[in-house]
Amino acid sequence: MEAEELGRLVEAAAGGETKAWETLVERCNGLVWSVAGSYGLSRADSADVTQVTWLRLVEHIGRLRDPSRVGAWLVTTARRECLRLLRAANREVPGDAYTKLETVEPGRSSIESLVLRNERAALVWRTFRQLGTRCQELLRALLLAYPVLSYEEVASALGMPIGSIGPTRHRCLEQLRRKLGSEVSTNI
Amino acid sequence: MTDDNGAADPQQAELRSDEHDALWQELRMLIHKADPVSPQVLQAARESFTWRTIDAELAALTYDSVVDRPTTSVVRGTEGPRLLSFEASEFSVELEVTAVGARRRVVGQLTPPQPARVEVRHRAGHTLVEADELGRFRTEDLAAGPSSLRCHLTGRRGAAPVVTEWITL
Repeated sequence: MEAEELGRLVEAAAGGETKAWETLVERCNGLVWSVAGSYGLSRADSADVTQVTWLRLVEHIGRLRDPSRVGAWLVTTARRECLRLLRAANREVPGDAYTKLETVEPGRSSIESLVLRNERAALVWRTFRQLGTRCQELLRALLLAYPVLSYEEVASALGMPIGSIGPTRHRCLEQLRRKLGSEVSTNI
Repeated sequence: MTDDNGAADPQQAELRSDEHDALWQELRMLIHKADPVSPQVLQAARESFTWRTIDAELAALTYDSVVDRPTTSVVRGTEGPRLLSFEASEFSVELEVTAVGARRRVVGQLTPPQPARVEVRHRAGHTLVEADELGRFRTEDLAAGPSSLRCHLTGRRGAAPVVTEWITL
């Protein structure tokens, strides 16, 4: 039902309706941003990825095979742009986008350390950023894009069956909980 | 090891779920502090609609040396310029991009070779360059970031302009 609503926004925007475009951006921008964050890019690089993804959609808006799957189109485009940027910066990237990416970009974490004076907060955030790309994508999308997008829309955009969202979220949180547990015990 | 099997114990599982809820609340607060969606990015996304071109033919990115060249054969940092190809139905653009800090030097070639007015579209607006009779053009000082070319084929009367897909240079 709601995916059809996104499809209608795409069709209206393709017909030149600025308002429909803006609504589409407001609903899906958190999703696009959350993909960029999952690849350990700096905020400046995430900004480039997000902007290029939307510009790509502007050019392709009248050419989408299935307008109701615009979320998946945006996620796929953003993922590709992340890998392109990582490669262009000559950083090491695994061949499979879903394998773990543990690099923490220094620029990003130093800005964060100013914000996160609280030690516990800094530890949780640092550990979260060490989770695999797939876990971060799902958790970030649920944190940033939900409830503007429904669970169903997030699932469709990430290419996951709706039934696996709950269990995957659980598994990723469990991973984070354990990592935090071992961080705390090694610090004592 | 008891920790691994703990989920099978209902009491443990309930405890686990409380911990997950607490962790989720922490993350929700953290992400909005540490990595919120930038308002400028949202604004740029809204405004990107003004770049819409309805009269132009789209030239798709078909080659990018950054992703299409096997990485095993090159030594880090010695690849030379980045090569990009964009293709439309009867027209293509090839670019050679050299990074000079945060600036980009771009040398381009239109095929078939022909004169054109090339509008380099980027975040700050656009830069105009002329392609010569042999379809060659260059721009020395482009800011890094998302870019797209709009080529007005001056040699072909009535021909629709060609735009390349956006890409981060």
